[in-house]
Amino acid sequence: MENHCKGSTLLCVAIILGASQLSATPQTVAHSSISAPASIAGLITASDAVVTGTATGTLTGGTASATISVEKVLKGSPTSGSVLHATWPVSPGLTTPAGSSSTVHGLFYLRQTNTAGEWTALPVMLGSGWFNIVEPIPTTVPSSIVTATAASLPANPSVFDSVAVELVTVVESGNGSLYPDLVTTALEMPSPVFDAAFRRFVGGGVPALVCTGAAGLLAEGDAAIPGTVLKNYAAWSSMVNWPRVILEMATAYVSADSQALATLGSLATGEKIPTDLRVAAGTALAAIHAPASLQALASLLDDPNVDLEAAAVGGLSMFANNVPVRGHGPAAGPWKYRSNDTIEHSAFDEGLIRNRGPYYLQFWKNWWTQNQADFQQ
Amino acid sequence: MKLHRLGGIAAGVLILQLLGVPSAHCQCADATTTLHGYSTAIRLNGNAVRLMGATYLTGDYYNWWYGEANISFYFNSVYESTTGWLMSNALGTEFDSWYTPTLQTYGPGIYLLSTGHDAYTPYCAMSLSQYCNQYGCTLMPPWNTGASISVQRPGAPNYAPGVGHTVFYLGAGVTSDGQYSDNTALLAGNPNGAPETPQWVFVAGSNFGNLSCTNCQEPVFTATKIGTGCLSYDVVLKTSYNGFLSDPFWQWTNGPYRNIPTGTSSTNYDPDDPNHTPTNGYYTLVGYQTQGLCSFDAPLNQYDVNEQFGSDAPQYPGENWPVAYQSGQGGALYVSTSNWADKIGISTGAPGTPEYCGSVLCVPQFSNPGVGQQTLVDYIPQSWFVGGTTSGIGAKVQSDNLQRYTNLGAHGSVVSPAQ
Repeated sequence: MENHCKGSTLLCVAIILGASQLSATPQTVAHSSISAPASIAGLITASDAVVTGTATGTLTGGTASATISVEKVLKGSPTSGSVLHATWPVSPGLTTPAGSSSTVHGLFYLRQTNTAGEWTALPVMLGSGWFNIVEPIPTTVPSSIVTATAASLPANPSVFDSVAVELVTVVESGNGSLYPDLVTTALEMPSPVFDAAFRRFVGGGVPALVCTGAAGLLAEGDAAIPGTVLKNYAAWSSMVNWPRVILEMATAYVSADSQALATLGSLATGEKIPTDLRVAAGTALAAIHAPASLQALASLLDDPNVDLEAAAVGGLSMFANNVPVRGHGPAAGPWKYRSNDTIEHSAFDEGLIRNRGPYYLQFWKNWWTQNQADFQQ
Repeated sequence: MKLHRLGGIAAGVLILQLLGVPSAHCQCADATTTLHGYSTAIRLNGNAVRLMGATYLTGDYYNWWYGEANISFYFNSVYESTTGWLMSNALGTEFDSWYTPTLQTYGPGIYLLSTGHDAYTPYCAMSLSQYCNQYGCTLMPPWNTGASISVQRPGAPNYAPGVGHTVFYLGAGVTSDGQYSDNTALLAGNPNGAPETPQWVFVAGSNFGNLSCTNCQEPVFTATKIGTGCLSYDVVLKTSYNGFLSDPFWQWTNGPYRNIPTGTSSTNYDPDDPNHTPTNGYYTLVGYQTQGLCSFDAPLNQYDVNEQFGSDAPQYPGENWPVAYQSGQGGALYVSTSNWADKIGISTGAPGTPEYCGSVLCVPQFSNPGVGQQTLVDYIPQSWFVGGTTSGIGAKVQSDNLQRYTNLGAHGSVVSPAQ
């Protein structure tokens, strides 16, 4: 909800009255709102039709409406070239004046209101402006992108695949900002279209896309991507989307590939590697806590960086307590390495290491000394 | 006493025919007089087994005799105790002798009893010893019986299948939000032969939550505060069966903990305007995801985020920009994926529109991103919460200053995690 007023309610009223007396003086509006993209998979599931086209919308009081000239039908019964009429509710706090009108080209998710051909448009952005039912798509797209995305479609594409093509097109043509978030969307609706796009982005060298591609492949668990990051981090780490690479490596990457794990170990323990990448790799290594990685994790117990120490303690304790990969609790049943002591010294938390470092670090150093023979390569 | 065949002896009845009873003194037995012996091992209750050896006689002269038994208790093949020879205090009755070891004392394993059987009659002043003596051998082997029972510790409790989950502490008074909840159903593990309804016991961490019931199979655990740290198992629960404790269930409590920046974007148009119509001001999106206690976890998904503002702190002399919310207020939104953004903007209209703040020109004048000198105009303390749609409700995950510059917005002095 937007609000112009500053200070008390009385002052607010005065400002509004003053504004009305200065009828020819447009008033400055301070915007502060929270917005969030809707779940694409949720939209597809909730809709009866998904189409691309051009919509002209009008705001009338608490409701907005639009006529949509359909171009492509990705889901449902509408036909290409048809004109649909859709309505949708708008936020009661919206300050946009009634009668506002806009025309936009994009992707629409529609639910059938009745059998008379009326549709309800579903919001793609939550907490935003009145015309929030469209994912804008550029009207002209470079042919190279069209060709590439078309080539990545499987033989019998699902609705998810078809929508993925449109979203990739938006981002690849440089028309996305923070959203659509291809990585998050790919996690909730995996598609070969996303996978192909991520590989194109990594190989394409476009700074705005490279890290998105790497982040996407990390989220997918691609076995080769840690090695690619190792080779390219010097160039990539200055790119705007580099934090997303760090985030996905730390929070999503899972692989059982021995080379991938070895590369993560090299990244985590490399003295010349940037700290953010070392921590992300160490965190991933710990979350996976494969036996072959314990040596690298144990070596981080003496690292001066507390985040790496936390990863070391976390990885060793997850292994010793038989916590599933990226899980949180010890698996049921007996486990050779679990004891009351390993449970009591379990932590994956830099705050705990900062506060009680010797308690955790010394225990796991001793544990490693006692058990390392089991993990000799 | 020498024990025979301790391993693998099954409980049962051993019939010992009395043979060669000397008749020099009197008639105390004949060919029908039979000495019986048996051993049993049963689960008495959740926390005890009864290991019993019994001796009795049948046939002629049976009520002239006192049964005798000497029982020995072994745990996991290790000798623990023996009674020595004990005798019945009534003629002709079965003589029972037993051990009742407490399971919580000894633990899981094999509880074994070996019993030697004998009888004595005062009328003939003789014992029917299994041993050979001056009268010859009174009993033929085997002379002992035995029985054992294997006891397993009750299985650990766990989250109830299909419905149980790691709990999220979402702040005072918030029970659930989106797919996160401060409570979960637990289920007692396999009792492994214990017959009682389990009693739930906090071995540690009773200050981190409470249980809906303590003498039940499936209580609901409700968190009362966030865990000490990621994978720090603050809560340890066991089930007790009359005092025999189960394996432990180690639990920790997660919670919304920190915001992860996902990038910023400043434009001269409202990003919510699909046509990107240029204005005379700016719009900055500050993107975030929110994470729980564990740095290795994927960001939270499907939850409510809200903000709460403090008082505007002008930094530019004479600054008169309007603010969107008064102190104590703020917006809120349901996040249906993991992404959300704070939109900071100021504009009057189309490019070139005079910038009035109230009845006077805005001080200072604002501009598009990338245009003009970046000057801090004011900042407003801002706190972020996850767990509710009311400003200030939920778990606090970040505090910052919403900074408004002449040509863009920003979050400064960010503290996350906030607690």
